[in-house]
Amino acid sequence: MPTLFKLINGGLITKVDPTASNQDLNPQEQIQPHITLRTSDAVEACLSRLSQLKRISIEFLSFTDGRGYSMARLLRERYGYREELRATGDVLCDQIQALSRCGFDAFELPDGTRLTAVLTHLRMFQQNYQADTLQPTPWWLNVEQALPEQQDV
Amino acid sequence: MYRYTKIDQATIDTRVRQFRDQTSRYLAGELSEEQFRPLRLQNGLYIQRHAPMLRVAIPYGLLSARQLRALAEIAQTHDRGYGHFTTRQNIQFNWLQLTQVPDILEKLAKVQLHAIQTSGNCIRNTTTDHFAGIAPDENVNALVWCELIRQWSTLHPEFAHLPRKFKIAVSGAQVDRAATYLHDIGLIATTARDGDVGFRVIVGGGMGRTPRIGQVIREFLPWQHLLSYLEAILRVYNLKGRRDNKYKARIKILLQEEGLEPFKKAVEEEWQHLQDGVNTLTRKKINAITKQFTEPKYCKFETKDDFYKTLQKYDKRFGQWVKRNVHPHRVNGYVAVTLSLKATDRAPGDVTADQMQAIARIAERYSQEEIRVTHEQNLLLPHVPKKHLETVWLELIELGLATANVGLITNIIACPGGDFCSLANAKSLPLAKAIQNKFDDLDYQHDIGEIDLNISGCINSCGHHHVGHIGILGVDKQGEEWYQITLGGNQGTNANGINAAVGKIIGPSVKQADVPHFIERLIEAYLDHREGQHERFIETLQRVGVEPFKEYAYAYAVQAD
Ligand code: SF4
Repeated sequence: MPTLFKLINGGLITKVDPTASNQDLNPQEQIQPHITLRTSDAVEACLSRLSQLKRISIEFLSFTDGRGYSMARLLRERYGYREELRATGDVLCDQIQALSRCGFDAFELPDGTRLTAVLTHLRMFQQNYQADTLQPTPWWLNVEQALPEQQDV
Repeated sequence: MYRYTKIDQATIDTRVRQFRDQTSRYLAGELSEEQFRPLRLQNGLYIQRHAPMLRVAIPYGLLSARQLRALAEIAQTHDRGYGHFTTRQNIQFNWLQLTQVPDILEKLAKVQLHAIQTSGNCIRNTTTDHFAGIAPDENVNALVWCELIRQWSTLHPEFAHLPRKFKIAVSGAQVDRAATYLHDIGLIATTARDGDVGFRVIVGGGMGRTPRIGQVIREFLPWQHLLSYLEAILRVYNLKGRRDNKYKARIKILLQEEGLEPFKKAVEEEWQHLQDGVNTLTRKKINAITKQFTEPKYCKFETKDDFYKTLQKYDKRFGQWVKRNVHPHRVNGYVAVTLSLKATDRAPGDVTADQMQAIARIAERYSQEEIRVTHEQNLLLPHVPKKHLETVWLELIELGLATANVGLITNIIACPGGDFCSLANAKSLPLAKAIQNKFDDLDYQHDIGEIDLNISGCINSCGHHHVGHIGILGVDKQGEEWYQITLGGNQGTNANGINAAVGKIIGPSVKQADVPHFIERLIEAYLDHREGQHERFIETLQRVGVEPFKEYAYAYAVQAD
């Protein structure tokens, strides 16, 4: 049984009731519409209902199946989806920073995953080169941040 | 040389910490072998035949003397005293201890080196012309664009788990020395009439078991759009590339299965959404990157630069070396010098720690502390004043690095093969040596002239046999090592307009012991058919066709299957 971690207010992670991962958090949420896409599906499959959905789960068939990352970015950046985007299936702690940068804000991780570990991985890299769903501008718009160190190689 | 900014340094330092954590979790049993595998591969670590192999990135082939010293130190302390330069301008260490790898990475990070994305199914080290920035025939300095791509592709959150590895090459010169038509994406930078830079975008080239010449999907992409366009291609590939069969997972297969026009359409459609978005480049950024490169300090020399030409006449050995290993430079008074790593007494691309230290010293004295790695597995001193040429030559002789064979038959490109690689069908290295021995006479080599001979130990073609004028591929026949011979491959456009091409198999495979003689016969066929002194092997082959070569080679008691 995987453990669910959620990003709330853009940084905090809350460990919620492990038994709730396949269900929803509370009865009220349970009736909210949600859908699960597998990484082999196209995101376009859910577009007609997108505005009603409160949760989309993308199920990774394998943690090396990178399609889920592009799917997430499309949902967030192109189709304007704002509600919960959950990574399920074969998901590793080591990936959650990249996942969150692509727009995921909830992660089902292997049971026993510790909150501290998740936090460490989530904030592993302080600065990133690319624009993403968290950092809307790429690094070159912040050239000032990238001052040269006075050291030759 | 590119100098790191704070974000560059912070990124690789963090990656070292992350990898240290991943390694210790693996050793503690918290990560399974299956989980650790992609994680370590993304950081250049293979577990191969004898010990872990670490592949260190040398971004676009540029190395400082200080970095080379650090590599020497690692070879000395953690390996068996040598390193192996690869065809993708990287260096590999073959005899490491897994537990020491995090420390090695930390040492590398101190000199702005890393192993990020040197293997695994991600965007690999971007390669370029080893004469970038110094070639007289250059339109655009590719180094700046390579660095830009390095930054964009490093730990890209969306493209870390592609269907398969992904290689990008950039060329900015008239002659394509970066094999751009043989990469997942090839970029040829040119300037428009108004002087603005743009790129010819080539997609779907590659070697391996289905060699393909890339196809042009954009004739001229204005520079501002380079990254958004790359993102569009990568996204289409990430979503649509095959994941059910690793032999069909490269972008070349997607392109082939979809067809050029539909593929192009998919990319253009994707790009419509990204065009003019956040990834649109500005002059400010390009200038900022350009500024991070140290500008070589060239002097004006008063003495006549070309006095070495006199010496060339009197000293035949020096003359041969200048002819083969010294290359023109865009700045007056300077040349570039290739250090041949192809002497017969060692595996192609291997350099000992002592040699690395000595090369670093020579680079400090005579080449503005800069060294480059070529995709022919040689090293290059990019800024040597002509007036020091003789001194440099004498020092290189001492080191055994002055073999005058660049571009000649003994300048063999060969993968590590069965001596190191668990995928190999055959031992490429002893074969390379046997062929080198056959053509040991330097005068004979110079008479044969320019020819590319490439050897791969298996169809993964790390030795680039597909694009050798003569290609040799190891195949397994009931446990015996045989070799398939191809003719007519070519890695890029040449000065005389011969285009990139994949070689064709000319007949039945040949037994290992017969290969050197077989090659000798191919060369004899060439010498007998060439017109004039200057027609090169590949030109004769194109003019007369493959038949005479086959006849010569197979007619002679070669035991073919
Ligand atoms: S070509 Fe084959 S044998 Fe040679 S290094 Fe590559 S995988 Fe190994």
